[in-house]
Amino acid sequence: MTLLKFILLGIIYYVGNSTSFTLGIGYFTLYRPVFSGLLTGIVLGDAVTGFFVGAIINIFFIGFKSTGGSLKGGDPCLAGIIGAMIAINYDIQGVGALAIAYPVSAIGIIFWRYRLNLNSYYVKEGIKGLKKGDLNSINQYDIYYPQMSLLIFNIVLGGSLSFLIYKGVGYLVNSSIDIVKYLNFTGIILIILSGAILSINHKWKYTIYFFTIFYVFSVFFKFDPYLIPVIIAILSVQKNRKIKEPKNKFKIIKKQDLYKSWFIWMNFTHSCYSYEKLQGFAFAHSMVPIFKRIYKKDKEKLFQSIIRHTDYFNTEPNIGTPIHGYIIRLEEEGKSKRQIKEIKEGLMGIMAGMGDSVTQTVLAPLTTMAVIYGALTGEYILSIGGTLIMSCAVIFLSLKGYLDGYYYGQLALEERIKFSKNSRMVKLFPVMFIISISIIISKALVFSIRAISVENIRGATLSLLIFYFIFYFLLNKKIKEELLLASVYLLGVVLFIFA
Amino acid sequence: MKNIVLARVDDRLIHGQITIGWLNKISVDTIIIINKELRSNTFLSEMTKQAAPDNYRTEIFNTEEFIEYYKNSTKEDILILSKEVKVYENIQIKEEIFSEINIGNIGSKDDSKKIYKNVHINSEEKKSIKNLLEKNCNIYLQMLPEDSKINIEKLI
Repeated sequence: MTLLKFILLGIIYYVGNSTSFTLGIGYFTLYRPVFSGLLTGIVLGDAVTGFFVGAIINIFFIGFKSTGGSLKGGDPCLAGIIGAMIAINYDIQGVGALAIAYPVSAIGIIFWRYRLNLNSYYVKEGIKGLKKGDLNSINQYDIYYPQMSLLIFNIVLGGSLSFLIYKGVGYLVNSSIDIVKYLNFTGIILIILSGAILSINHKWKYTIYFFTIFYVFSVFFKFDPYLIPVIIAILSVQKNRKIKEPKNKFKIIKKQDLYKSWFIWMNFTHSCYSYEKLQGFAFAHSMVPIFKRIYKKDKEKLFQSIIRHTDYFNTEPNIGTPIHGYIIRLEEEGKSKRQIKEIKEGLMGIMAGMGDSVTQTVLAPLTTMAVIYGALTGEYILSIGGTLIMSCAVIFLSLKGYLDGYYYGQLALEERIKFSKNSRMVKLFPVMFIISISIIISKALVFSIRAISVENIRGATLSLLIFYFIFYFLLNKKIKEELLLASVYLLGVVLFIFA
Repeated sequence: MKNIVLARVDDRLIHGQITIGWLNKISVDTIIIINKELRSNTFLSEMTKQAAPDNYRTEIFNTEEFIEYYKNSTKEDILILSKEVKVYENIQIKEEIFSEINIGNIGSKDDSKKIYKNVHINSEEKKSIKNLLEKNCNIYLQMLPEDSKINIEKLI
């Protein structure tokens, strides 16, 4: 590994971690281990292995979500990079790479809070600039400075962590202990533990039966990999209801301003994300093209209005966009500051709670599972399909929200709530999820066990179900996940000595 | 009797941290929002109720209505949300209902000071907090169920 390669890994870490410049798609794709693993594989000259290892690691991160500035567990993007790197360099399976990558990725989370604190400083400086009448200050402090800091920081952190892990694992691999075997054992148990955690988190009456049946089924039978994704896609199809009311007509604002505003919002929602304002600065930034049009001649009003919108704001960035459209319309109509503030603040939580339980909780896991399944089985069309569906959903939902919010105001917001609440995909999600994840986990384990050359692959995979039941039982008794995670690493030692 | 499972201060009332964070870890029948402005805004209160997670009853009250509701005899496990500490103070002065209050998120205002990463309070809020503490109400910071509780007395 050359220095350049470590720097490139740092850049991949930045690209995934930033989520900016990607129209909101990055958070659901590049930030996830299966994608960061693929990119790492491309840089290191083994895309197939990178993608496969990323997929295995992503199983562990499939339930990942972040709400309103909270971030827990490990950094998915970093886990994918570290895992793919060591798997490609040393003869370690995906599961073994997971056993190293997961604890290391927790380091990424520690720095999340410093990033949000640094951004608080940038927001303050940015607002100072706006108060002085410098419109460029919002570009500088919402995009340039936070992104440059993040780029440098992530290259340093991602690059040096990769280097340390590369050297450390290299040292252990060459030592007398059979570390590879230990890691592979531990990783296998980690995957089965994640099955239990996911079952508990998506619990309904028959979760444990469904998981067991489809797990066993998938060990013994080969079936068409397209079957289940296609059934899920068909079940999830939903007709887009059109609002029949007359559209609000553009008066001062032009349609292109809405597009510009949407473009800024989608690219930079989390560019300068801070604890004080959360997405407040990004919201103000997205209003720049709007106020530039409304207050073309009144410079003072222009700046006042932009500064007014830097207030604390946070919502689900894609489902929540009718808020933006509606606020733009109210601004154009010249509604009072107080009224606009009240509506904006009243709506952000509502749309966040509902939006998060659709995009982060349902849509992202389903499409990511398609990507993972494609990576595991080599049916890459599935991976491409999953990525496309997620990307199109983000663009479609956010842009439609923006326009409908402007055209139909309150009706658009009500419609969006109905759309999310009545979506069949959301209602059927627990069943679809458990079926898919049990198949994926069982497939991943069969591959991993085959790779470590155990003779009776089926028997070994089936016997792992015992661990699933034990973990499920313990989690049901409210034993902490962290405790189980730690005990898995210890269990790895026991199995290692035993085997 | 009402059993208060969680009484929380949060700028955004019901949002992701509530729907996919807390409600998966605690068991309640009803979500109560105490907010005068929301109560009097038909559009926003209607939206809040529609968007609230299924399987829970959602009610929006002002302070007086809440006390009345709290006193009626139906048995319920409840989650209470308010944007301001002041609301809890006003209730506690009339009736000592709360033994514990959770502070989730309070964003920054012009006159507020940061006491923790996601919690900013001004002098008025500080006064309310002190009053509540005197009125036998423990106040702690905790964003998500997985986080550890931080006693507010150390921070102000």
